[in-house]
Amino acid sequence: MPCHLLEDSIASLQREYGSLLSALLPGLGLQNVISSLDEINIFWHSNMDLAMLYLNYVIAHDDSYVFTTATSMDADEGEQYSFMLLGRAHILDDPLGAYSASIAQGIPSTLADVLKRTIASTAADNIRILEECGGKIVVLPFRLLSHEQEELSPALYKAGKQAFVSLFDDISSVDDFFAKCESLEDIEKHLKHNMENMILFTEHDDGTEPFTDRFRDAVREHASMYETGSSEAAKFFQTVYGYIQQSVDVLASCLQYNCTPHIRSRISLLYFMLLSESFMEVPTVPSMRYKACVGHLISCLCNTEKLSTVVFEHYCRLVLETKFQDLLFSSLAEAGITEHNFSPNKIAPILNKRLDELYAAL
Amino acid sequence: MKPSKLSDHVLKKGKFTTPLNAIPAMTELEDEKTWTHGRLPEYLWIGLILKQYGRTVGLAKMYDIVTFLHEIAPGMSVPRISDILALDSSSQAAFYEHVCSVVSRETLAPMTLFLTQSKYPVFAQSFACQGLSISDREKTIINVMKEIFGHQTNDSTDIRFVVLYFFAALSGRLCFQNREQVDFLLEYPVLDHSAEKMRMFRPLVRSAEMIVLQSEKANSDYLRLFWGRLSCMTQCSLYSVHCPDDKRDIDAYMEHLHDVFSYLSQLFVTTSPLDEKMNVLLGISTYSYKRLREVVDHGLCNSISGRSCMRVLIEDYIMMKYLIKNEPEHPDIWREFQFYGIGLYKLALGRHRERDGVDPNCHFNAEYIQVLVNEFKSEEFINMDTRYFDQQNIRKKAEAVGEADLYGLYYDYDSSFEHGLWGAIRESSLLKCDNPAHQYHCTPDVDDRVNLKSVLPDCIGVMNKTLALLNETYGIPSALLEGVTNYALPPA
Repeated sequence: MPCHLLEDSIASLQREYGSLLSALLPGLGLQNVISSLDEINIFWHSNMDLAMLYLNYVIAHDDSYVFTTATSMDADEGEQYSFMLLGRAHILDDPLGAYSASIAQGIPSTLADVLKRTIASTAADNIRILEECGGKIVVLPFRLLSHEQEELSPALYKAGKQAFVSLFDDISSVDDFFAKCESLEDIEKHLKHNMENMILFTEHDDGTEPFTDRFRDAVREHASMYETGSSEAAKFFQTVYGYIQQSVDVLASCLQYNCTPHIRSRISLLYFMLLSESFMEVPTVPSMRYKACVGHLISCLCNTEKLSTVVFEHYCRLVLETKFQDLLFSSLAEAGITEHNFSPNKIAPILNKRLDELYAAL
Repeated sequence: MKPSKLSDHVLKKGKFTTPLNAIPAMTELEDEKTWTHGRLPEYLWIGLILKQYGRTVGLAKMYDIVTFLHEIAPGMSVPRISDILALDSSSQAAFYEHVCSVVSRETLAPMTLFLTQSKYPVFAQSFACQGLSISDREKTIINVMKEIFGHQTNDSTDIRFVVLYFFAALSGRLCFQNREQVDFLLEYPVLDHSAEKMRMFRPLVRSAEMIVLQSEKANSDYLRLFWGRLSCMTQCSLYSVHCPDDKRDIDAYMEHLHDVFSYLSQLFVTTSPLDEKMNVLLGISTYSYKRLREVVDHGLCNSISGRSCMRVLIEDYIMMKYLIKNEPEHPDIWREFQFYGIGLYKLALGRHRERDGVDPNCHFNAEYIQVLVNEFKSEEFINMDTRYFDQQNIRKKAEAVGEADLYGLYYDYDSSFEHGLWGAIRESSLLKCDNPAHQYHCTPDVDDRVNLKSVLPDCIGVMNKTLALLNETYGIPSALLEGVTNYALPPA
C-alpha cells in the first residue's frame, strides 16, 4: 500500500486543528478571545511549513479552488455543497489567524463585540466543516500564509496601498490622501474621472445611486465598524482600502498557489475583478477570473437545499461521476463563451440548465 | 563458435571454470608454441610467397620449394625458417638459389629486415634487393602478418597446410589411418576456399598441424630476434575505442529531480524531522542524487568516475530496499545502519590517531571526522564492525530484494572499475596497437583518448527506481514524480 506522507500529515493537521478549535470554542466569545486567537495563530505559525508544502506541491498542481473572502463557510446553508461543484482540490481559507492580527493591531471598541461573535461563529463553522467534510475540504489560513512570508508581506501591503492611490488623480500616497482629504467632497475632488461610479461600498450597492448617497448609506449600515468621530476620509479609506487589500491578498495567494478563488460576496468579487483586470498579461489570470465568476454565480444560483439532501461524501463522488464541471465548461464553450468575453448574464442560463440536470441526477 | 553459457561453467568455491578448462589434463599452449607468437615468425616466408603469387600458384610453387628443401635436408621435419637458417652455408645457398629460381628474389627480400648480414649472411646476400626500401619491406611484412595473424584465417590455414604436407607427406612423420585422410592432402591445394569440402578440410588441416608441436622445440633465439627487430623497427599504430561524448542536455530531468528531492527534504523537515527511517532513506537517496549530479555537472557520462557513480547508485538502491525489507527483523535497523557506518569512520579515525607522522595535508579531516563520530553518541560506546552490514554482501542483499539482475548485469561490471581490476583497466586506460609486428599489444592511454560508453541512460534508470521506492514509502506528488518518470532521454 503506497504511503502518502504529505496527505497523511495534512489530515493529521486537520484533526489537530479541529481539536484545538473545539477546546478553544467556549472561550472565543468571552474575554480570553485574545489568548485563544493567539494560540490559533501559534498553531498555524508552527505548521506554516507543512501548510505551504501542501499548497505548493498538491494544490498548485491540481485543479484547485479556495473558498475565500468570507468570514466562514456556512455549513447550515450547505455552502460546502456548492463549493464542491468546481475543481478537484478544495481549500477553505480560514480567517481566524487573520483576526488575531487585527485584534493585535487594535480595533474600535464598537467592533470588539461584533468581532468576538464572528470569531466564535467562524470557529464553530470550521469545526463542522472539519468534521463533516474532512478529507474533501482542507481548512488552511490561505491568505495569512502569504503574509507570513516576510519577503512577501510588505510587497502586498505596498501593492494594496498603490492600488488605492491609483483611484485618484493627484494623490501620491496614503499619507498624501489623508493630508489632502478630510470630507467626502475632498475625496470626490481628487478622484479620477468616472471613478465614483466604479467604487462600491456594500454588497447591494450597484453604483447607480449618487456617490455621496451610497457612501453615507454604507457608513450608516456599518456604523459599528468605524471609530467614533473618525473623518469621512478615514471611513472611506477603511472601507475601500479594505476591499482592495483583500483583493490583492486573494490575487497574490491564488497566483502563488495556482488556484481559483471561490468568492461568495458580490462586492469582494467585483473588487477582485477590477484589480485582476490589470494583470491580464499573467498567463493564469484570464482563466482564474473566468472560473472565479462561474464559481460566484454557482454560490448565487445553486439550490444548496436540494444538494444537501445527499450525504456529503456520496455527493462529492456524484459530482465527479456526473462530470458536472466538464459538461458546464463545454456547454459554455459551445455557446461561444470564453475567458475573454464572459459575463454573468451569458453564463447564468447555461449554468442553471446544468444545475437542473444535477438536481435531477441526485 | 558460440560462447558457452554461464550455466555450462563449473562453479566451485566462487570460481567459474570454463567447460574446456574443466576437461582433465587440458592445458594452455606455451607462448612459444602458439600460432601467433611462436609459429607465425617461423612460417612467415611461406606466407610471403603465397601472398605474392596468390593461393593456387603460390601453393604450386611451395610444393616445388618444399620438395627441394626435403631433398637437401631430409632430416628436417617442418619447414621452419630457423631450421633452414641453421643449415650449413652451402645447403642454405643451394636452397635460396632454388627459391629464387621458383619465385622472385623480391618475394622474400622483406625478411632481410631482420635476417641481416652480420647474423645471417647467406640469407641476406641471397635476397638483398637494392631497390627495395626499408619502408617497402616493412609494409609488405606488416600486410602479410595482418592476414595470417589469426590462426584460423584461410591464409593461415594455407600456410599450416604446407607445414602439414611437409611433415606428413615429405618427411613421413605422420601416418594417416586411411585413404580419405591422404586424399584430403591432395585435394586441399586444388580446391577453392569456397568449396563445401573445404569447410571440413580446414579444421582437419589445423588440428593435424597441431600434432607437429608435440615433436618440435621452439627456437627461442629466433623468436626473440624476430619480435625484437620488428617491434623496434615499426611504430605503434594506436587506436582507441572512442564512444561518442554524451552531451545530451538533461537539464530538464535534473531540474525535475531537484524539485522531487527538494520536496522530500521539506517533507522530512516539516513532518518527520526526527524520523530515523526517513533520515536514512533520504540520506542514502540524496547521496545517489549528488553522485548523479556530479556525473552531469562534470560531464562524467563517458568516464571511469561515471561507472563508479553508477555502481553507487545501484548499491544505494539495493541497500534502501534491503533496509526496508528487513526492518521488521531488527529492533532498529535504521540506527544500526547509521552506527555501522559511523563505526567504520571511527576505525579510520583510530588508525590516524595511532599512526605517527600522518601528513597533515592528507584528505582525511581528522578533527571533523572526530566530531561526526561523536555526533550523537560518545565513540566509547560505538563498536566497529568490519564485516558487511548485516553480514550479507551486496550480491546476497540484491538477491534478497529481487534485484539479482541489477547486480549481475551492472554492479559487478562497475565494480571492476571501482577496484581497478584488469578488465576495467584494459577497457578504460589502455590503447590497442594495430601493428601485428607488436603482437597487437596495448599501450597506456596517457592522453585520455578512450571514451567509454555513456552511463547516463542507466543512471537515470536506477535513479527512477530509487524514486519509485521513495514514492511507495512516502508518496511524491504525481505532478513532481511524472516530471521525472515521464522524462524521455533525447536520442544520443
